[in-house]
Amino acid sequence: MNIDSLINKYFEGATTSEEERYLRRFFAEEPIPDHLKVYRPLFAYFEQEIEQNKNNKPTTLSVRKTKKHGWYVASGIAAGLLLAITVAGMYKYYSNNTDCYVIIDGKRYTDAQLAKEEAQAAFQDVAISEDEVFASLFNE
Amino acid sequence: MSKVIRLLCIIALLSCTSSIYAQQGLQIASVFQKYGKQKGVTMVELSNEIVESYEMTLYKSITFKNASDELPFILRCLEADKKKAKKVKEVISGGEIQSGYYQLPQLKDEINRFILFKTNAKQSATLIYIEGELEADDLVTMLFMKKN
Repeated sequence: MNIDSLINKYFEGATTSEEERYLRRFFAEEPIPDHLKVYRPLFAYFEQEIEQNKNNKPTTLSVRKTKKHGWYVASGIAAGLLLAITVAGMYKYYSNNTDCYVIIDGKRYTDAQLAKEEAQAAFQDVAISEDEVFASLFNE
Repeated sequence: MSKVIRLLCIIALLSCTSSIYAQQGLQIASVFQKYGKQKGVTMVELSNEIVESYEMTLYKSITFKNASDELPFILRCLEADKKKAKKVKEVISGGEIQSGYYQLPQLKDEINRFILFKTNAKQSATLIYIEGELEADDLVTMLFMKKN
């Protein structure tokens, strides 16, 4: 291949991939004619870029894989947390469901007798007296 | 496939979590939750063997020494739950509910539900929620006997 005509063809944008590869190999090797040395940095730069892109490809792929793996781990942790919260909530719900308790001024007592007495007192509060309209309650 | 399975598991867990706190389905539940541990308030919960002899499965009451601040909220909750009631008896004085007796639709398997409420001139208030196989007549008898 005539290198001069190939260079001209390159600058006209008419070279094939094979011809461009030839040009890059030509300028990577010694010796280069003096009148063509001025083009060496240009084709050396392109060669460097191509090498860099070849090296970068696996990195991009591994970053994508790492991100995907990260999502799996994050969703697994979230599911685990949700499970833990659910179990804690169920435990709290069922542990609070003892047979009896009374809370007076914010303090909780589980003394059955005390709870019954307070329950009876509350029931007494809502009880119906003879003076109230009793006969009409819950009649059809 | 694993993504679908994971998603289904999360949905199932969310359903479980929400159902635990939605069982009562009544607005008055928020009265117990909100004020149950407050100063000047007495809240009682009895269930199972303790109330078995009264044909109840659950008894919850909350009594306020002075309910002037809480009354609007309590009345709003009662108003909401009253809409679901199948029997309503109220005594109203001066445009405000003095006492209310509500029978709600059965929860399940012949478990009746009742809400009882009363205020008095001293601004105290009592709210009671009962579940059990007892009938309305039984409850009325108990209420009448207690007073007399």
